[in-house]
Amino acid sequence: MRVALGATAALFVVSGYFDFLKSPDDAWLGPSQRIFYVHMGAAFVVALAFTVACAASTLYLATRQLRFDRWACASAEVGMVFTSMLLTTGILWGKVVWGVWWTWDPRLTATLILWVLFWGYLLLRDGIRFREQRARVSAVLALVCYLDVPLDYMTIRWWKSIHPIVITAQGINMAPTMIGAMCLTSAAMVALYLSWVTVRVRLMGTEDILDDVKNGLRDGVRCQFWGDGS
Amino acid sequence: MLAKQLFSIAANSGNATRGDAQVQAIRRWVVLTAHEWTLQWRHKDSGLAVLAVALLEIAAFDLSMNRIPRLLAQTGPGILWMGFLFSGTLTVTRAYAHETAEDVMTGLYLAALGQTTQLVAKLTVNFMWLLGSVWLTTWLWVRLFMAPTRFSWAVMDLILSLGVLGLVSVGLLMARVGLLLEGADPFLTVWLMVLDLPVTVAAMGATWALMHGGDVWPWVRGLAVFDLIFLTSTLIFSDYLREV
Amino acid sequence: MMDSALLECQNLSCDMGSRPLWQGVWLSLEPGGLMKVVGPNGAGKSTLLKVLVGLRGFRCGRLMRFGERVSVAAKPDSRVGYLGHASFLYASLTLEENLRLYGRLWGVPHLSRRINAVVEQMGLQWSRYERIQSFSQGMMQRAGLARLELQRPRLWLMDEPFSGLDDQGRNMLRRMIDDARRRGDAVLITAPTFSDDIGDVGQTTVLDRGQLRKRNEG
Repeated sequence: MRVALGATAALFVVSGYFDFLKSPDDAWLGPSQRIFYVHMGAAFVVALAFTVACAASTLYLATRQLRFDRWACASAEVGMVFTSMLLTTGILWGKVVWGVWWTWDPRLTATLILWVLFWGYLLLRDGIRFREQRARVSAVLALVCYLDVPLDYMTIRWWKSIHPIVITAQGINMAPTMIGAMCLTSAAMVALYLSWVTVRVRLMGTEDILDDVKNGLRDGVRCQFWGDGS
Repeated sequence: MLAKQLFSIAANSGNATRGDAQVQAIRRWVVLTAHEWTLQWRHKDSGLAVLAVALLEIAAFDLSMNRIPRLLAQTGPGILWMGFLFSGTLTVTRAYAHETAEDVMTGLYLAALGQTTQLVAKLTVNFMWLLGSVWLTTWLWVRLFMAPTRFSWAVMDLILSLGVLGLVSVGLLMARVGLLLEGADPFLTVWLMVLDLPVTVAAMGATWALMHGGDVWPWVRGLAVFDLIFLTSTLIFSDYLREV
Repeated sequence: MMDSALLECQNLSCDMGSRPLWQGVWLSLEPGGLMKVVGPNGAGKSTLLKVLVGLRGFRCGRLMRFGERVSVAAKPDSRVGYLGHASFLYASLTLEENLRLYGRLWGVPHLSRRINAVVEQMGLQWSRYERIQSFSQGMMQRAGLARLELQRPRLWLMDEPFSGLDDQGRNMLRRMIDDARRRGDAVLITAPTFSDDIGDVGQTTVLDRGQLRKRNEG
């Protein structure tokens, strides 16, 4: 675990060097373009995190092993942080490039809806007391959310194709150093995501075991563990 | 009356074919649909809620904005579907409320009643009630605010049916989830409205296109696809939500 | 003898959450048999019944019903009747409507005649067309028993069936259990105390501190 965290930190230092010092200013957008590296990395992790959450939920429903539920929840939690990052950097960059804070572009709107839906997922999860029941319900909720987001994207795109599109994004030609910086930042972000989720999963396993111990002590029953939390 | 007729059909088919699994399932669906109809008829809440919200909308918009010409005709689809979304979501998430008291769900489960049969029966009856009140509301709105507009009511019926089907199918899945939540149901309702966004937007788009001469069919096709996705996932996932 | 048992548990164990609720439960019920499980509140009597009827899974052991092994995720069986703490009846429907619904789901033949007989047997003639929500606790218990009698299962699992019943109701329930045993059904009931409300009991067992024992051993 320490090695993983160390490697993540090292990746961040190197990618920071590339993002802010090594790569040139964009000819057209100037230094504001540098936010793109963070933005792109976050977007990559968001896609990864919610796909992992969805896959883990499916695996939970298929196998009924609680560790998949922990993976789903941890991945969604960390994914939420990266979605917030994605939205924030997107808003800041949009102001500089497009001149507006927000536009109801399909991708922006779908991301916002993704953010709201998975907040709901995490909140509703909290409302269920029993572990197995919580795992079952949240697996279903996660899958429904995951299905819903592409539908939103499609709907808004149709909507926009009927209404005139006011703002279009310009294509960006990238220098090789820029591509390098982008890849490095994405790798750093993915490493951060992976270590964070691993820590969170282990923490949740410990929480479950602690709950078992407390329940056992409260009822004066000899403690026995047959959870798969380790 | 309809319930009585359905009951008698169910009773007759029951005597003729015992053991045939498929016929058995259909018979149970008919029994349960008739039963759900009786329940709805006794309470009338799901239909009345939609009508109440609709009257509220009509009154409020008529009082405040009727002086601006054609405004209500233009914004009609949006206003109507937002109303349907709110009242429909509120009522459909309560679809299992009658089963919570006295633990009826357990009793029905022990009567070897599959989740799917019950879900399909609830789907049928909630769909009928919601569609009825949604249709009445739309008709009233068109009559009051868009008198000169001409469009095909057959297409309108199709759009309303597809929209209501989408709302009801996800709504019922979340109503099942609501049974398992302790005290988070109000939030669940709001969350469900976000989940229903694709269906609502597509239905709005279709209604707008129909009323104002746009191309309806891409929207209707989209709506049908959404319904299919939501209906399938509801049928698949509800099996995992059985309380044991 | 073992093969003809309607219900048999071998070394059955069940957890509540992740801690054991009871362990190593052995019991067997033959046709016409009656068993009473007594235990303090929270001992897991209701959970035992839920496991037997298939509403809950168990952790390990063997559960046999009608000579067939039942898996951990049991399917409901219409030959098993269960009376829980709730009546399983719709509050806003009348007794008649409720019985009719269940009767149709079970496929009870000659339903109207059977409902007449059951309602009369339970002494609920005057409440037949009343909504369940207007029933008192004792009437509710009778209504729940009416539902069970309409089902006429082979294996009767009743959770504290005597609670809330008046003397007349207790007599009626005793007669109901006797009739069931005479037909060759097996009956298992739970009770919080050793009161002899049921008369001739085949076996009385005690469920306490996670173990099921014969009465005299405990």
